[in-house]
Amino acid sequence: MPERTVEDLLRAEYFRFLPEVRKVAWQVETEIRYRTLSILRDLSDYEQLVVRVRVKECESAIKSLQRRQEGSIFDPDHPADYSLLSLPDLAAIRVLVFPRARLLACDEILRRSFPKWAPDPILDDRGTTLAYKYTGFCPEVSDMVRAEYQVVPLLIGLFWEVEHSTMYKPHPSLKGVGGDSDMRRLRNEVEKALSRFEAGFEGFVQNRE
Amino acid sequence: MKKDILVKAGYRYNFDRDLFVNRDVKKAFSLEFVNDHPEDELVQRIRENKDENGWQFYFNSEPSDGVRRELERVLG
Repeated sequence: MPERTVEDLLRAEYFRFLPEVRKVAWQVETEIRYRTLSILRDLSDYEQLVVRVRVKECESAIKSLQRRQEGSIFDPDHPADYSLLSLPDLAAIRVLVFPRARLLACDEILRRSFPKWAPDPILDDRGTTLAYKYTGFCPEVSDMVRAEYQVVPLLIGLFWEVEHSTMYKPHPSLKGVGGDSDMRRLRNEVEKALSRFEAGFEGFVQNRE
Repeated sequence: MKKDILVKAGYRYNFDRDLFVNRDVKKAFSLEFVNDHPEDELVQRIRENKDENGWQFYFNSEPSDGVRRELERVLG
């Protein structure tokens, strides 16, 4: 029988831990929905708060771990060196909020709810925070599977859903698009424009009140 | 820019491996190495002669025999 590759062993590990990953995702999602309920109840008609959950798929998790190795390759002689549990986002929750004042309130309330989680903000090309990201454990459910939650401006989050499969993790036929300087500049311009729209809208609403 | 130095020296970016590769001279630089080392060192490494017939890998962490073997296989 041929020897099992590092990828084979990681697949086996993935399915061994999948029930636990699902429990963690459920736990964090429920906690976040509960903690943000007071904000949700108070939203005006034009304001939005959306919670999305995803469990990382098997092949995506393996690729993600592989890309963390120098040369993006596993050492076939040392399969025990690798574990998908080292990934910070097997279970991930994204909280999409509009407008920014509500986003800051969500971030504040969730930071208090997950005090031990490590912040890892998502920055733009000038170092300004675009979105808030935290990783940590849910000891009630698992001390093995780490989870991540993000608090993201809704407009930017929706743009990222398109950008994810066009630039961040593009189809093989689009290889290199993420590193293309023109495309990166255009992406940054979109993010800035969406942030400006949001700030402008908030200013407009404040002036009317 | 570091990328321009490598491209000018005949290196192409391998998106599957995150390496700058020159198959003619059989040298490859990891993205991490390029990011963490100054331009003058890159130029020096590009110019330096290789001792052996096989590939020369410039990594932050010396690649193990297994990694070296796998990379030589995929790079051809």
